[in-house]
Amino acid sequence: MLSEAKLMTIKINLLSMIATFVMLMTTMAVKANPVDGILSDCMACHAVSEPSEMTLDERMKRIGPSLFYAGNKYQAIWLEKWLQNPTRLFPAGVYYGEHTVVTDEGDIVLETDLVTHPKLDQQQAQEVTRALFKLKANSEIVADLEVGEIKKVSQRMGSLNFRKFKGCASCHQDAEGDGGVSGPELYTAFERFQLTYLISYMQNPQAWEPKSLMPNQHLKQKDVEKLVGYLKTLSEDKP
Amino acid sequence: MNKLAIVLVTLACVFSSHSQAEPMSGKKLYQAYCAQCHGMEGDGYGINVEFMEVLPRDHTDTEEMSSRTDEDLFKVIKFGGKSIDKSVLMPNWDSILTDDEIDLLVSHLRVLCCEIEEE
Ligand code: HEC
Ligand code: HEC
Ligand code: HEC
Repeated sequence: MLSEAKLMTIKINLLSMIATFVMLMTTMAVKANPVDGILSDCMACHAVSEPSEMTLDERMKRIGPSLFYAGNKYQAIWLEKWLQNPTRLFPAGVYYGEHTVVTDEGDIVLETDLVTHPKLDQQQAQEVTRALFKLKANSEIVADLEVGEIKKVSQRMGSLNFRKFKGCASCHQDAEGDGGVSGPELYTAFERFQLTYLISYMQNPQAWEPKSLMPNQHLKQKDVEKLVGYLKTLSEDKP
Repeated sequence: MNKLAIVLVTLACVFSSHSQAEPMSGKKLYQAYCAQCHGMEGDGYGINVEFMEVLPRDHTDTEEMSSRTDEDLFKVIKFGGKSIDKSVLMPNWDSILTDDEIDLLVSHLRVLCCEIEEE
């Protein structure tokens, strides 16, 4: 039989365990951003609050890109328009391996396998955009970022740099249907993203998303500005 | 004292159950990072090659791959094609992969090229 004193210590220990648990839970809850109900339909495919960590397996199983830092990533005008008329951004899906088949002619993307994005009407798109702009994780990355003047780069030099010297075109398209498919298309990137996002992502993808599949190529500030200048050219000199 | 121990154990439990890592393997790393260019089966025909000016190495080419030492392979994975005077289209993976993970990949390359069992 347990003595009275032993029972007492067990009770105290149990209580302290519960207290620790409650404390942990509340600190976790406070850390997460409050998320508008309107985004609940998105959660089946997107992370709308910051996960405490993500494993490689979880990254490979992800269906849509993370949205928990949407307020620091997109341009509101682009976002509202895209939600009403979504175009393909990831030509091979958010993790290419889920949609790739091996054939005698080499690996190909099963396009029929890709998600057709839900379409919102104008009012929904406005409300969702407002809700997404409250999601501001990663603010510390862009807070003190110095942005020099972004000059347009000639189409020819820009393309040479993007393809040959920096190798971005192995994974990204700089024109519709032209370029690698494992990463998101970049020919609308300049309208899609905030400038501070573009610059800091190129400098360090893992700062935004520890399990980003994009390698950090240790680009110098000047290189980044040239690449962004090329993306600017692409968006402003559209045929 | 006793109570503190329990609290610590609880904490440890909460955190370990949280971050329980699934076993990492060279094959999984290859599927995540390399197959987009080198192919899901390592034959050099990944989904991106149509748009690349230099073709990714065929990792199933026994002769070619056998001529590289493990150190050669480790270096090109970590620091990229540039580091061995090859194409910059082979990226550097130093900020994504730990040295242990690169070792797993080197072992996996030996499976692909020469059917040597993974350790
Ligand atoms: C069935 C899964 C699914 C649902 C539900 C869904 N999305 Fe998506 N979302 C995706 C996929 C997949 C992509 C990548 C789009 C592509 O390349 O075609 C995407 C892309 C996006 C993008 C662009 C992301 C980027 O950075 O490239 C935004 C913004 C977005 N979704 C918002 C939403 C919102 C808001 C909702 C809820 C109203 C929602 N999505 C619901 C799957 C989904
Ligand atoms: C090995 C393939 C690869 C290479 C090479 C590569 N990227 Fe990426 N990039 C990706 C992938 C994959 C993503 C999406 C990250 C994720 O979701 O894990 C990405 C994301 C991005 C984004 C953010 C877009 C978004 O939707 O959030 C930018 C900007 C970008 N890359 C620019 C570049 C530039 C510029 C270069 C050349 C210096 C480059 N990338 C080279 C694979 C690559
Ligand atoms: C963006 C496309 C791309 C990705 C992603 C990529 N590689 Fe490569 N890799 C190449 C190209 C191109 C070459 C050929 C370079 C040359 O011959 O000049 C190459 C060559 C190699 C070589 C041969 C080097 C030699 O000695 O000839 C090895 C080994 C290699 N890659 C391993 C990997 C591994 C491991 C990964 C994943 C972590 C990976 N690569 C991801 C494009 C890529």
